[in-house]
Amino acid sequence: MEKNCAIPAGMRDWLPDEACLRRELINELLDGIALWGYEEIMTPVLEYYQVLTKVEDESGPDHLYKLIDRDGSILALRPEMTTPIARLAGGKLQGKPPWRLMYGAQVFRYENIQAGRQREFNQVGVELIGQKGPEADCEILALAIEALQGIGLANFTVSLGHMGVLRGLLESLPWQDQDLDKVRNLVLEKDFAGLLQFFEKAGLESKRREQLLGLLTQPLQAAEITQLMSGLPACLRTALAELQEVMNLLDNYGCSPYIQLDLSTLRSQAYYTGMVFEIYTSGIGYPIGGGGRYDKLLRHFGRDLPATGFALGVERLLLSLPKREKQRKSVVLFGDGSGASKSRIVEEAAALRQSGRAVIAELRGLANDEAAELTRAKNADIIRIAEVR
Amino acid sequence: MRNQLTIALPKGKLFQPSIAILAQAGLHTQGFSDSARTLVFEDKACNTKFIICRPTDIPTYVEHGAADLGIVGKDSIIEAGKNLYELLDLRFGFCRFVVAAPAKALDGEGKFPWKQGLRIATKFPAIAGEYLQKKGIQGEIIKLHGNVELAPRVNLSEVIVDIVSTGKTLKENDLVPLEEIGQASARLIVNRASYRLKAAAINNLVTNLKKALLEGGDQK
Repeated sequence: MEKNCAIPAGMRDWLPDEACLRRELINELLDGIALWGYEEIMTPVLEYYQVLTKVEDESGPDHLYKLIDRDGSILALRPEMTTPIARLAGGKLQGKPPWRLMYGAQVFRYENIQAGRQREFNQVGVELIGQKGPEADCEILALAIEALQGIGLANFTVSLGHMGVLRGLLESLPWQDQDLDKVRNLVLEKDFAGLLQFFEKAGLESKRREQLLGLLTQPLQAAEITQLMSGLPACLRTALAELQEVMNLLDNYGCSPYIQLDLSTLRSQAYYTGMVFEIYTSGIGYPIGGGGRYDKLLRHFGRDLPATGFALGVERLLLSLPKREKQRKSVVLFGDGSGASKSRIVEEAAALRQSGRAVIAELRGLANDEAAELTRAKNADIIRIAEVR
Repeated sequence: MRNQLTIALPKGKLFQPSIAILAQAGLHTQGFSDSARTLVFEDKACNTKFIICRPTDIPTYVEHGAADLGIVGKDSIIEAGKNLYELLDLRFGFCRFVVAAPAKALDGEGKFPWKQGLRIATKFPAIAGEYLQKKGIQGEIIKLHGNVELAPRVNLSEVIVDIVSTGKTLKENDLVPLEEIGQASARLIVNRASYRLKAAAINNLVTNLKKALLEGGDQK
């Protein structure tokens, strides 16, 4: 294929209207999040490969775009923002935690192209670093929910789980590492049918099988947690108790109706340690955002601090939101091309811009129909004829 | 509309058992056909829509949320490598993945002379690749879309990895199974967003299907 005008697979151009809508959405989200005291940070698109792969387990493909620096070191495009921010917080942030940070940034993943997600896509997210406990987790959840409400997303569900559920489940099984790895993979792949078969083959008694599978697949009400906890291994009980505290606090924000407790919610990134969540909306088969607690990531970068956060997929949000009108519309000013009309137009344009309008000032002389066409093409608001008197 | 379920059904040999078990679970699937021109059916009473798809495409429909649920063989799920929830083993459409070779390629003791650089023809490159890796053999995987049993006869490959239910096709082509590398049966798969957003309807269906499976088990 002719490469002169092509772009690599998984990349996309943003044309004027689309680019404007994306910029407006990102700005709206960040403006809303800033009201919670979060400060924007930016990190480079390129990082050292070692930094980005610090905690991911080495098996399997890593989905990174890699390249070699001129000094021979391996670089990669960031696939998400949490690890770069952990690196930055580990070494560079001044003062004392907690830090409340936010970003709107492009990330890159070499994986199959999905709905609303190319290999380059945009995320808006936050990290609350240096705070443990349900208060911080609750703040993150409430902030995510209010950010989505703020941009006018009507129907969405936050499904809330805890990584401790998987850990507890594995700890409670008296098996070899090899079998536990199998179980972990089955759970992460959400192959509940396969999990049941594995349990049967391994000779787990039927009551226990049902209890464990039910935990992962049964819908759960907050009020049922206490009852559910009896008879579960300690690690699972801790996880459930943590979720319960978060749910109780969320009542204060009026966010509880958005939450669905669902213990099959598990994030694939290896750095998550505590509560995790994914956000779903109707019409899109993929989560539009997600996040959770990661208490062991920062220690890899020199500061042993707990942290929690979330990221929203900007492209998926653009698909989910009702069609938006561009907020900024321009005005076309034009005249007959005479010297006097030119100076009138410049003067008018300056005044209008001062008042916040976008102005296309056409100094060259235009006929009425030419001007009308230009206005239509730019979807501009008004035609002002700067007549010379 | 919002709470309507869409279920993707596989054309072909899994079709009849699929509509049978759905009927047993209370859906009105009587009279559905995979050979008619119609690709969409509706059960208005149960607020459910059905779409008929090629089995290998079903994971794609479900992953994207074009269908909330689907019924498909585990073999198609493995090959597709999609992000899906597998809720139930429906216990029909049983088959095995086997590695097979021509009978005449076996040595005097009935063993197959494994060698490096061997060629495997298959519809399931992911499964074949994993098998070769476990076996410690560097081989070449030749992806075909059907009639894999032909490959050794025309010297396209030394062995094949294919799915077998009765073994008749293998026999007819003078192939002998060397090893079984896995099993498959029909699964109920669910889109991860639908699993959350339509939880009540999906759980209801799953409960009814489980009941139907238990009843079916008693009859046998």
